[in-house]
Amino acid sequence: MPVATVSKKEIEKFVGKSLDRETLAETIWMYLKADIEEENGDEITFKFEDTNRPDLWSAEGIGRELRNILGLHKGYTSYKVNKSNFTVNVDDSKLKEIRPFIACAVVKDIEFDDAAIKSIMQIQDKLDQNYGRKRKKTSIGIYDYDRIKPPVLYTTVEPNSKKFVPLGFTAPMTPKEILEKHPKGVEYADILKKFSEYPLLIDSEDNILSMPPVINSNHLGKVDRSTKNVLVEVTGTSEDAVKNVLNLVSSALAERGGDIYSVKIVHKQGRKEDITPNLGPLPFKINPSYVKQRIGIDISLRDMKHILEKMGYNIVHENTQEDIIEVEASFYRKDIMHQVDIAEDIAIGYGFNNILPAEIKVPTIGKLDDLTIKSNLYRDVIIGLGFQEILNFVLTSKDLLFAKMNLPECEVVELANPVSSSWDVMRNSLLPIHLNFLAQNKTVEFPQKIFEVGDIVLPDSSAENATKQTRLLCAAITHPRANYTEIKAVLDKLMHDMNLSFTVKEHENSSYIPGRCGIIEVNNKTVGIIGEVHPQVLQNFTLENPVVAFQIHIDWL
Amino acid sequence: MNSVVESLHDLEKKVLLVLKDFGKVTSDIIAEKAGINADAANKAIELLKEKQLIDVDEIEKELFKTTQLGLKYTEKGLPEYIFLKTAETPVAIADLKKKAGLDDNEFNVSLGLCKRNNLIEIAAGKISITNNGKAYIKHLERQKDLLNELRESKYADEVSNELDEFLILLKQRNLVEVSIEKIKHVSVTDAGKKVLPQIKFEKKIDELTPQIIKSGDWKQTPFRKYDLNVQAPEILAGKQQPYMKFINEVRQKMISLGFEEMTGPYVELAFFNNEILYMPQDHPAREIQDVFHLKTPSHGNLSNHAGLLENVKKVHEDGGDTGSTGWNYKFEPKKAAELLLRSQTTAASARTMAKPDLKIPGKYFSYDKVFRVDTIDWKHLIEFNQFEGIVLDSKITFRELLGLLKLAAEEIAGVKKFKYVPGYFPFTEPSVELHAYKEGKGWIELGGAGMFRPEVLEPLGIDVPVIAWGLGIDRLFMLKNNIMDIRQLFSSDLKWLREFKW
Repeated sequence: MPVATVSKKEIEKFVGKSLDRETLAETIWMYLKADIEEENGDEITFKFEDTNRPDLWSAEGIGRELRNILGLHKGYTSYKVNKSNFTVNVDDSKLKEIRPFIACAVVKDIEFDDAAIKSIMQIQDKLDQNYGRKRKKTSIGIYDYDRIKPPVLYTTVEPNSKKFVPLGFTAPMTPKEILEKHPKGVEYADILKKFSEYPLLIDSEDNILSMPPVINSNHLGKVDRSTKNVLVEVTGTSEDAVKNVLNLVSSALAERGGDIYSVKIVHKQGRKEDITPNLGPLPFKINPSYVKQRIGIDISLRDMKHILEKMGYNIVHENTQEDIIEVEASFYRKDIMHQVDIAEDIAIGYGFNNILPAEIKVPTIGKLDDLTIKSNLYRDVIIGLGFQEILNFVLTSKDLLFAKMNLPECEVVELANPVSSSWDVMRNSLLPIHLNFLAQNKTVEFPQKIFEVGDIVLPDSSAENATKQTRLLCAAITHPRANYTEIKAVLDKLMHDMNLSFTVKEHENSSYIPGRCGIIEVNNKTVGIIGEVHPQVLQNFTLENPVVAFQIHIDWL
Repeated sequence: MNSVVESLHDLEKKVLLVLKDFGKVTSDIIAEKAGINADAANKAIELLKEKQLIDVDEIEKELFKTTQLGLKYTEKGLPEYIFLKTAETPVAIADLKKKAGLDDNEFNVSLGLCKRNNLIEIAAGKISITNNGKAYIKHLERQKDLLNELRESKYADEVSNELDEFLILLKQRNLVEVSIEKIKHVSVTDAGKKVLPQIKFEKKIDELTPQIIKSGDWKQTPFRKYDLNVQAPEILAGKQQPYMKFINEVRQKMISLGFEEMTGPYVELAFFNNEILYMPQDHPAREIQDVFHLKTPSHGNLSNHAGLLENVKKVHEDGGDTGSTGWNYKFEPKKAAELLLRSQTTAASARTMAKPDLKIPGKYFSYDKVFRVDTIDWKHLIEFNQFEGIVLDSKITFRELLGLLKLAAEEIAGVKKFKYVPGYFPFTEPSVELHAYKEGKGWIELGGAGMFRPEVLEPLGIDVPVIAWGLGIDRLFMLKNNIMDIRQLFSSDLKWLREFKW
């Protein structure tokens, strides 16, 4: 989940009012799906639940929302976009497969104090990392507008051409060298490496702005306290996402007092000219009766409209006869896909805790899953026979399943991204897990009798999920004189109580002592295994006493 | 005091009476004088000690006994004895061994010993015994006697006077072994002295036997009283795993509320964990760092769900007929066939809703494992459990969902103070979190819930609202039992499991 650290003072600046800590915490929690994770003086770290509301991940965004919720503003905040002739030309045919989309804005007259620089850098980082999927989908570049000589060209170049000095460096490097040597180049190399040419932004005097999405140039792509006017550029693989990110960045700068100017995006290969940013509102229609029915509240149209305005919507038109309210929301409310999303905003505005919980009156008959019922039957019997129930993880290691068990490796369900080699496969048997358990309890009083009813997972190419999950009961006994007869007596009693007749057929398995291991068969079908564990296996687990055990597939019985 | 007397077993009485006459004595003497066997005497001594009627001083004493090796020499005599006896007539070194019938080791040890102590002399390749040697033979005969005497264990002070000088010697040669015996010196306490005059022997029933029941003896004979606070032996009994017991209780609660249990597999098609739940294919939560993907097998087969897949694809791309905008991207069916370990039990809910025998109205719940990439510590596991439910009904609203959460908070979690907080899940709208207030801990998230989005329900052909909720069941159990470390739920500590109190 996205996390952002912002200054409380900054939030107050954008709200236009000072806030006590409790009000801030409670409002954020009850309206913005965010929570305070950490506080350090004026700095507050927020954790945001909603990955589709990147507009919130900054002091500017939080402040803008709180203005409405606290009643200082109604409807959405609109921003003026001034016209300008600044032009970016796009080499569409060259970029088509690499990074086809670009959107830009110019923002003038901003005071770049330390707080502003810090905030803009954080916005850029959060959007690049999370919303921009680590710059793959979108990435942001911000430049000192006054040093750029328009028009700017968005094109591609060969990896070994066009040297420039990347941000934070002093010597010029080729794009290829940047991917190999510059820390940011190394970090994002994967996005570009596969292409024969890399994207580049160049001004009319052949000065390089940046190599998106990797690095700005040191000359044009540096913003500091002396910067007044900036060019904001967003490139990426999704036109919608690129424009949305540009809108978020330019409106955040406008919140800081900047004036937004549009940029002409001219496509060389025939596509229509585009003017960005477009900060116009998004229109939606809702049916008040649908909203009321979904939430289960009976509120007046007047109250509903009032809540809508509080939640940042402008009421455009209403038609009570046809049960329609037309509303507009800010350009950044890309998360609204269906009127159900607006219904939620109305419920939040109404206050979840103001809604009277209702009792469910859906008459149905409760029922446990058949396998749960069966598992509990087996558990009851084996507990009655003096066994302690244990619970173990399904994830385990090949070492435990094979090497320690004296068994040759066979195919198992294996993770592609394990966190540790101790948990990189799914168990295909419960016995190794039981032996491992016993090995950790060598000083606990004997006899030890343990069991688990749990699932194992085996590869099975015929199943739609290519695996077979089956439920086992494993029971094991250890003490200095544990022997086959003792465990067989347990199996006899268990099978008797479950009304099953079975036979044990001698079987060779290198985890067990030869001649003391057998397959358990019911109606000529193999359902389990029983025996005395091989001393070599005991030694592998550093066990000092004999262990006798059986496991049966209870879902096959 | 009377009750003490009445609880005395006849054996205890006999022991006390011996002590009256003899003062401080050992347990052996008590047994002998009381005319009972040693085990019975010891048992009686233990019981009397517990009742504080006697004092017991334990003294450790060495007990000597001839070893197996020693026994071997009790007949023929020690090797050097045989050696010297053979050398009484001068004999060639080479012949001596054979003649004496000694093995290599015995011969070498004897030769060394005899030479060192001038028991023999060697001249012209022949060995003959010296006067010293002749005198030493007497010693060796007495050592043999001692080995014979110690065929039965004896204390040092019981060994014949003329032989005890050899004890240490034979012990060093491992011909005699020493064991430590604890000897109890028993004396009567003041309390015991008060009891003594009251002792009388009358027939009392100790253990009630089938014979006594049958014979009717119990009609005339009183029962001896027992010490009711006797230290009884520990029983290693069969027992449920504490967490499993809790889960089954919660399951029973759900049944009583009319919910039917649903299940789904650990290894899941991405489709049921993600796509069908309206998670876009490039959603950050699907990244490799959050969900376990499989190396083998890596892909499953969606041909059983071709129609559903097509519906889901449409909804993702442009909202289909739901009135939604959709996610606006190109849906790749192949990605939906990737295999993963399910990261949410909502996958089981999705499977249930996709079944042809789905009941509407219907109420379902599941308790099962889910898997997520994480660093394992006291707060996090990579596999843990979720408790989840869905309700399908034409009249259901968000209010009923809040009502259900209230029930969960009060009935399952047992909390009184709770709050509904707006939440976010890609598949529900509205979404809500349930937070409970726990004294000393503040607000704690117990679970999440919501109403399935139209983009989830429409592809499934479900035209009634569906509410869904999930509880962090592991955390509930921990809160209830004051368990700090989540790893304890899967404890491999047998002692903890055995001693867990319900």
